[in-house]
Amino acid sequence: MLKLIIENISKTFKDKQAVTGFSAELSEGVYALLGPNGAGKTTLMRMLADILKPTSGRILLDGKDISIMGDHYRDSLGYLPQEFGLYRNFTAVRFLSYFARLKGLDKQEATTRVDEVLKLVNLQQDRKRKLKTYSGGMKRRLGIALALLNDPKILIVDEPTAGLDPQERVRFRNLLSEIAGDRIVLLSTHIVSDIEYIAKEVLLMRQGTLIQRSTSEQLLDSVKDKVWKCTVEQHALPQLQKHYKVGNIQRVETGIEVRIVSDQQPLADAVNVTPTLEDVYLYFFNEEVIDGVQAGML
Amino acid sequence: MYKQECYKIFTRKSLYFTFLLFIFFMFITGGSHSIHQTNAYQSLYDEWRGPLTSTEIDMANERLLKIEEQIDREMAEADGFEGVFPQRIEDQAAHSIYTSVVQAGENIEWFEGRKEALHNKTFDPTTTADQAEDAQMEFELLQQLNEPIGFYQTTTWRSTVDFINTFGFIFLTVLIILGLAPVFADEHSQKIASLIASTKYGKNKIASAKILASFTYIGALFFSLHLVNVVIEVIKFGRFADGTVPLQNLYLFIQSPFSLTIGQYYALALGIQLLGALVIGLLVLFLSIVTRHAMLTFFISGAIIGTPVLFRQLGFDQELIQYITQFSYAELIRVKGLIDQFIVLRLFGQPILYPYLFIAVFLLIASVNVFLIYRQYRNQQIVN
Repeated sequence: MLKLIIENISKTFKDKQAVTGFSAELSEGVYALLGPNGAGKTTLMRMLADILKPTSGRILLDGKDISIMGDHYRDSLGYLPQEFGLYRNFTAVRFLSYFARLKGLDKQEATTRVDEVLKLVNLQQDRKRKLKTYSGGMKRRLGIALALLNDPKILIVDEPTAGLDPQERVRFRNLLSEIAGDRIVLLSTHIVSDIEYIAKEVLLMRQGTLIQRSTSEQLLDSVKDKVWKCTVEQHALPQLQKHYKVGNIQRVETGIEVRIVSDQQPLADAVNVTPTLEDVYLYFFNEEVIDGVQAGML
Repeated sequence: MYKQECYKIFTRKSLYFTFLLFIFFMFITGGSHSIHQTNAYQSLYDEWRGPLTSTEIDMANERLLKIEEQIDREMAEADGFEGVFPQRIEDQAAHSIYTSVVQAGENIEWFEGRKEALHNKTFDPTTTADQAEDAQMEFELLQQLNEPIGFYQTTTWRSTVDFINTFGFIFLTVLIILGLAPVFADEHSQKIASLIASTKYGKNKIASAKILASFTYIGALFFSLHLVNVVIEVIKFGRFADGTVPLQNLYLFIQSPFSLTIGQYYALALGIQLLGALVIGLLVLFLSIVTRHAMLTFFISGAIIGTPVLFRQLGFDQELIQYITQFSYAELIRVKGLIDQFIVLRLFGQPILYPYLFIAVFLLIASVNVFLIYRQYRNQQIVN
């Protein structure tokens, strides 16, 4: 059984503490890393991708320190950063073949695997096109193909679905689900619906630390009685937004229907509704804004 | 990997554009010596070519004086007429040849005087032991030269050899920096560094592939540049002749103590320049990793290579600056300074010829550079 242990790692950049004492143990399955911008998700992922060294702490794969494993660790790694570039004058095949060699595949393996991953991300028709002619979504799909090229045991993907159309997003989500059976997949995303169905566990990060680790169900359960829905007049909305974590806002015939995440009932006619992961996100990461605000101020 | 790294370098259009621009420049600079290609010159040249005796030199001197008197007469008769004097092609050829022979005679005299001065210095009681040892070393080298100066038509060789330490080194350096500055830096500016570094071979083998591809580029550039130059020199000055005569027959190398023919020097100079090009390539690659910025690499490399040349041009002669200038990348790729005079340096009290010490130092620098490239690349952290 594959085991990736993140042991109390921290990363400091000059005067900024990006990750602080992060520990987690991951086995096969999809893990979602959730947190606001600046929470340290990308830094954590870079350390896991062996392109950043932790200031302290260590990462172990099956009991071996990855900084000592070096090539052997990266041999089992697939990494897709949030932002990445491509060689504009390369075709998709040339680009992937180049990376296949970098990932240690021999020539024959590379040819077969390049075909497979291009098919997987639906780019086989455009395989001979220069990458400078690719759209944003196509580039993203090529990035996904690249991450999967060496059939990695550990897949780290940072915001993989950003820029993909809904159909491609679903396709990618399903792909992750399919391949996650015998490998560790760690993904970060702002699109919480991406992880709702596929994540085995969700790791919530804030200010460089792991604040909670639960299954999606447990997280949803934790906000079960804290999600409300009510209809208000247009003029009441700003006050409501000022004092509560307001989620979806929808105009209806009788006024404006708002979704509110709050420990207490915000308005007398507010009714409890079933929470989603978006509500969880709102609950955990807008918390400091609402601290000290008395319920019923409206 | 190597193939793709070559592809990345060789598909950059700006390099071809710059290369063609330099070739155009090589074509339009430097005039041809038409008089050397005339029958009149060639027949007289065959008569005078070779080592010179004092009788021949005296004879050439007398004939030169006569032609100069003739020039004075012709100019007086022309009275304001602008043209080439003497007017007859045959006389022009003779004037050119006798001038060269007389000059060669003066050079022979100077050479013999130099040997005598060195010999005397060895036994001079005011000379220190080190100075005497150096003089003896230089004298022994000069003794090995057998009739080093004569009269030979070396125009094509001279221009070809000159190219190495003039335009050749400048063009080569510019194209190396231009071609290699982006090799590592562009991976960062194009945001591909993190993709590469997270792969199995992304921290070691890729560096080897990049270095090899860079060397391939330098090799291709080097041979193309010199091949084109050879063709241009032949077009301008005619075929290569007298490549087997001593190097001292090229005026810029008259002080050289080394026993080399012009052809041998050319081969040696090409070898050293290629070595210099590779060493400079390693410097540029290292800076490309450290700065992660192609433009910055371009300017820093340019400053490291160009500053000693500037110091020399400005005539700075402080001891430290002399050392910097003597042991600079520019001196390596120009080659001439290593061979054109006798310089002996002392290492742990032992005399050692400058070119040997110089090459040893730069081989050491290159080795350290290679080590640093791998270390820096392996340990780089990617934050964007």
